[in-house]
Amino acid sequence: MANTYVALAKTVLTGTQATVTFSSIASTYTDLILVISARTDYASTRDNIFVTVNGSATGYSETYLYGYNPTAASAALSSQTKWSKIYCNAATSTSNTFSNDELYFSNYSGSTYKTMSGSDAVEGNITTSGTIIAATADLWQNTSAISSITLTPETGPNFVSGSSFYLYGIKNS
Amino acid sequence: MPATYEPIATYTVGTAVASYTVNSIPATYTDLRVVINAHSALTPSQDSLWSIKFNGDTGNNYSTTLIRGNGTAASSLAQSSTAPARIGWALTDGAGASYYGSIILDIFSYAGATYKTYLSNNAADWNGGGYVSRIVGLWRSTSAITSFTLTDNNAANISVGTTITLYGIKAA
Repeated sequence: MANTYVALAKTVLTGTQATVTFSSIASTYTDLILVISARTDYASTRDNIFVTVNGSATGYSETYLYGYNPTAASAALSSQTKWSKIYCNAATSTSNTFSNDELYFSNYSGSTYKTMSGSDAVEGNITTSGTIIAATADLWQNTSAISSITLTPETGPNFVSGSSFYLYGIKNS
Repeated sequence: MPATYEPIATYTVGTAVASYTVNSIPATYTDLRVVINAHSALTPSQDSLWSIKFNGDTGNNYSTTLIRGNGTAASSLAQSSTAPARIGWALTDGAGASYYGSIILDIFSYAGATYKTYLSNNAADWNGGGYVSRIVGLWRSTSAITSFTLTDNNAANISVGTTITLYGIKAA
């Protein structure tokens, strides 16, 4: 029986690393899921993860919804050089705590613009803005198949040891 | 090794239609995941809310609670005793032909003997606006789900190129 939910690649850090890239992504799946558990060395409680695809620096936009005590809000970014509202823990957040992020790339190899749905959770047993829960609607205005995904901390400069990134392919037949 | 996550079927809309129905859903899985790349013919609005009904039930047997962001404000809405039930926003001809919203429905215990709950993960950004939402829906029926019908709340046609993929998730 064909495998539907296939582990394609992983990066699990045993030291610091500034960039994580998944390249040569096969176009033979229907959707991609990227599961992230991350922490950076930025001297704060929370950092953002920049996401780009195919090395492109154009055509990104996002509408996002977020909550951190006591705020719930939404904002949007258009005509950006990357997606930037994926959140993770940073150096002064509760120790041994890493974010939980899932990025779902629908129809990543199709001939339409690329939509990505993000779900982020950064929790650290604190009640300040250092924790956040967020949902993102992300768009890359490009009809090319996604063949690579690159992640970097917004501030970092590094992801730290214990951060993990798992890429899965979902096949509809 | 038994398969846990299986593709059941993929439907691609070949002719623009006012509603799209998926029939003959087998009862052999535990949960369903429905992944929709959604586009409708609405103009000039760039996005449009879609809804679902199960097994052809047009009675006021549905309810939803949602949280959404539109790029300006966060809000939450609830509907009770309504028909059909919201599942999220598609992108439209008003945005452009290459824009598709993503609606991912998880329908839990869809063949069980209790009321049916779904969770929608929705992303619909058109570079200048859009919606991101999470919606919980309830269908107050103890019948197994054997079909569902999608419609655009603005009565726009579901466009050619829209895809609907069903996956079955088996607990054992």
